[in-house]
Amino acid sequence: MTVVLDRLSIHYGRHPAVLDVSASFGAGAVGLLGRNGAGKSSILKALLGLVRPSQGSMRVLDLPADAGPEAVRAKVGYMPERDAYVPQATGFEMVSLLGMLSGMPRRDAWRRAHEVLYLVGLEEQRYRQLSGYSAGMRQKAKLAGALVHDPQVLFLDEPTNGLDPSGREDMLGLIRQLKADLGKSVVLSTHILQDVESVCDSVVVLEAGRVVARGALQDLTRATERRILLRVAPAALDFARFLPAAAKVRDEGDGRHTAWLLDDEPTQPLFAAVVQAGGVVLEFAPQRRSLEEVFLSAVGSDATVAGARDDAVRPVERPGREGRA
Amino acid sequence: MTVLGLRYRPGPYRPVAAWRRWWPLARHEFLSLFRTKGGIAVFCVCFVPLAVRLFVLMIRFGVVDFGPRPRGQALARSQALAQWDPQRPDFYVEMVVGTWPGLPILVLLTAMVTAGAVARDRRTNALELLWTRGIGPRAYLFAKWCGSLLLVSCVTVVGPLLLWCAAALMAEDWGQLTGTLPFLGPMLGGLLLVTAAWTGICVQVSTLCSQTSQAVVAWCMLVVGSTAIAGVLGIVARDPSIRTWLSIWDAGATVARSVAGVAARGSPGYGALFLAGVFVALWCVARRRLVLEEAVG
Repeated sequence: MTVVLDRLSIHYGRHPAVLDVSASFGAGAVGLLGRNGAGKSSILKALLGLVRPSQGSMRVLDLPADAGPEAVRAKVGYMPERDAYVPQATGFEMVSLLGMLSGMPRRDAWRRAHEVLYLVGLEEQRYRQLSGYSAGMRQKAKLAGALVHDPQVLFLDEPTNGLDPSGREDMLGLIRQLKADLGKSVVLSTHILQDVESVCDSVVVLEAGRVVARGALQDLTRATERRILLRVAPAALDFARFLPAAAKVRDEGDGRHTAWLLDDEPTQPLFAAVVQAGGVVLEFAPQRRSLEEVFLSAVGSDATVAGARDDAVRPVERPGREGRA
Repeated sequence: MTVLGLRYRPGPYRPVAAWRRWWPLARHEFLSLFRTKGGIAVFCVCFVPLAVRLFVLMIRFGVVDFGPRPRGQALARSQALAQWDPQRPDFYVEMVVGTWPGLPILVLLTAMVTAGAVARDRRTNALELLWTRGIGPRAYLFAKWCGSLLLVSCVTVVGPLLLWCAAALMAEDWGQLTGTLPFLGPMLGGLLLVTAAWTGICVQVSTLCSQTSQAVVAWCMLVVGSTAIAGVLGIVARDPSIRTWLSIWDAGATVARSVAGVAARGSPGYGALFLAGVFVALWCVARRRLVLEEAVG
C-alpha cells in the first residue's frame, strides 16, 4: 500500500477538518475527491508532516508509522494547490533549489532539474523568470519541482487549478504518463470529477471530513441497479403495457427508452414485451453509473461539483420507484 | 524522442545531510540582489564610503599628491579628525557605524534584500513549496538570515577589511600593519556581531509581514524612527547615552565601537541587552506566526 490512514482526525483549533478517516491508497492513481473544505488538503498536509493529527495514525510506503516528516518528504513529491513559486528565480533555479533542499547534491539537482523540466515541456522556458510564466507553465514548474528528487509517490493538490482546457488536458496527460511510463503512484486531490475519471484507478470520496465512498472506480460506477437504453422500431411502439409490474420504462422520444432493472432481474422480459407489442429492438445498451452520480449519491443531491454536467447534477428521475416491490 | 540527451533518468544519489540543506537557500538569498541591474547599482553605491576613505588613504600615503600632507600627530590630536587616521580603529569602524553614511547604507541594503526575505516568499506562496522539502521553518529562517548576513557583511565587514589591507599595502613601512593588527580582529568581530543582530531583527520583521513593501516600511520605521526618537529624547534629556537603549541603530553602533576599542557614547552592555531583547521578542512573535502558517497554510 502506498498510503494507509487509520482513524485519522485533524482539528484546527476546535474546528474539525478530518474526522475518523480510515483508508488505504494502493499503487497507481488514487483520487481524493470532495468539495472545497472536505478535508482533502488537510490529509495531504498531515501526511507530509505539516499538520499534526489530533488522533489516528498514517503510514506512507514502507516507512514506519513514527517516521519523521523528513523521511516521508524524501519519498514523496508534493505539488501544492495554490499558485506558488520561488521569487526572483528562473524555472531551472527553482526546480534545482527544490532538489537541493530535498537533499540532492548540487550536480545531481542541476542534471535532474534539466530532465524534469524537459519532461513537463518547459525545456525552452527553463531560463525565464517564473514571475513571467503563465498559470499553466507555473503548474508544470510545480510538477517538475515535485518530481525532481525522484519520489515514489506524488501528492498532487488540485493540479488542474486555473488551467484552460488545453492546459488541463496537458497536465492530465502528464499525470497519466507519470503513472503509466514512470510507475509513480499518484494521489490526486481534486474537486473536479472529470480529472479523477480521466486519471485515477480508484477514488476516495470525502464529505465534511469523513469518507463517504471509496473503492475502485470500476466498482463504484457499477450500479446496483442497471439502466438500459433501448431503441425500438417503430418509434411510436407502446411496449410498456406488456412489461412486468416491477420493470420501469421512460419514453425518451424517437423510439428511445430508458429502462431500470435490478441487478438480478433478467433482461429477457424487455425483448419479449417489444416483440409482443409488434416491434423490434434496434439497440440495447446497458449504462454504467457516472462518477457524478456516485459522488452525488454519496454526498447528497444538493452538491454542486465543478465539472458535473447539468443532467448529472439533477437527481435522476425514476418514475414510480416508490411503487416498486 | 530526446533532445540534447534530456530525458528523465531517475537514478540513485547520495542524500546530503539534513543540516547542510539550508545552504542552497542561503546562497539563493545572497545572490538575490545581483539578479537585477538596480540591485547591482545599490550594491555599488554601498561601497562609496569605502571609495572615499580609499581616496583619503591615497592622499595620506602620498599615492595622490595635493601638496603638503597633514602630519599623523596632528590628526591624532584632533578628536574630530580621528576617524580619518588609518592608524586608529575609528577610520575603519566609523564608515559602517557612523550615522552618516552608515545608517542610510544599512537601511538601503537591508530594505532591498533582508526586509523582503520572508515576505516575498509569503507573497508568492513559496513557503509551502520550501517547507515540504528537507528543511523546516527554523532551518528556512536560518538560511534566510545567513544569506542576508553574508550580503550585508560584504559591505560592513569585508569593506573595512579591504580598507585595512589597502592601508597596509600603501604604507611606506610595517608600522601601519603592526600598529593596526591588534585591533583588527575585535573590530571585524564587533562589526560582524552587530551586522548579525541587525539582519536578524530585520528577518524577524520580514517574517511578521505579508507584503514586501509592508516589511520595508516596518523595518525603516523601526531603525530610522527609533534613532530619530532616541536622538530627540537624548537632546531633551541632555543625555546622549539614552540613545543606546532606545535605538536599534545606536545600540549596535555602541557595541561595535566598544568591541573595536573606539570611544562609545553609551554603555555597550545596555546596547547588547537592548538588541538581544528586541531580537528575542520578535522571534517569539515570528515563531508563533510561522508555526500557525505551517499548520494552516
